[in-house]
Amino acid sequence: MFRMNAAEFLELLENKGFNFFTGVPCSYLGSLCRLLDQKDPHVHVPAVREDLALGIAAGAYLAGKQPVVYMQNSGLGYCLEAFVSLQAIYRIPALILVSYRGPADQGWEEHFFMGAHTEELLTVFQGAYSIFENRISEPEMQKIRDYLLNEKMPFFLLITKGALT
Amino acid sequence: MNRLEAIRRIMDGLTGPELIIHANGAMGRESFACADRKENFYLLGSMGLAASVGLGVALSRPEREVWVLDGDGNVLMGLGNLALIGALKPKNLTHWVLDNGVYGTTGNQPTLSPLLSLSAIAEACGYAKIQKAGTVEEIARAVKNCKKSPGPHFVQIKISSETPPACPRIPYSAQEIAERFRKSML
Repeated sequence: MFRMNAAEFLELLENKGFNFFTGVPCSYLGSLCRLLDQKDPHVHVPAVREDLALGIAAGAYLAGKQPVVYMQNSGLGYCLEAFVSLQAIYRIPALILVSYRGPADQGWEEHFFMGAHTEELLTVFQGAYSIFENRISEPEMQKIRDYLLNEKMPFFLLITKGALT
Repeated sequence: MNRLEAIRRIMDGLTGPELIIHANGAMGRESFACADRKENFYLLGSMGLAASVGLGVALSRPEREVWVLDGDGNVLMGLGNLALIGALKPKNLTHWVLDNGVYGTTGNQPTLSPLLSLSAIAEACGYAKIQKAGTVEEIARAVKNCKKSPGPHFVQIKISSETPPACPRIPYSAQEIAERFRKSML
């Protein structure tokens, strides 16, 4: 498996113009969170709930930023109303990094249901997504950025355990 | 003072292109009826998130004055926003809370607001200045104070639970509201 270093991933994001980050941490995203925590609050806002993070990211977008939101897939549940009544109807894009405690991960009862239905849920809510399990290339990230700019809708990148080191 | 009158008094304090994020419900429609401007952003749904959006705008554009027009029900739903704003302390943010003690848009069911102190919570979270207002003069003074010192400011305005005359729905689509607001900052 070709894994990706968090610093390299963050550099790729920043090279593509992403300049505002907010979210709620997950251990799968720990290495990325450590880098973001060093940034100023004008660039990185550690939110207290995932739906508030979507609200903050929406404000940042309206103010001219290109936001990234990060969360565990358990947080998607909190976000559904924000997706439909904020991002979707106002057409507010954001790249949403979702750590994927999915069907392949064993042992956490509290994640079983959301893990089994994460992709189904995104499909129902018309959230475009792709799964990030080894590396993400520059052209792939460019495609995501183009989607955000053209469709003005969120794009979800599901990040599996160990993909980001 | 009812909600519509309080909104009108707050708007009387506008001195320039303040950016205003409105919580969902009757409040946005009433503000639209008072003084629609391109710098106004109206949430149609997303209860509890007006202050989140306001925080995102305020942090991204520190040179612009940002107001959040919120209600007590909305603040209670998104209490985490008070922690974020109090801790991150955006100097350019003023959080107005029109407190009628009820969910006015859905038929005046009681909120918890009369049983606790939203101002004390905001103060404990770290807002720079807390004010309470209930009259025309007090609102005018609160606006002046907010413009004089760095925020984040929290202004709790006690209003009656009387339902103002219904204002029509905002005629713009959500996408139009967002595009207009975004362009106002370019």
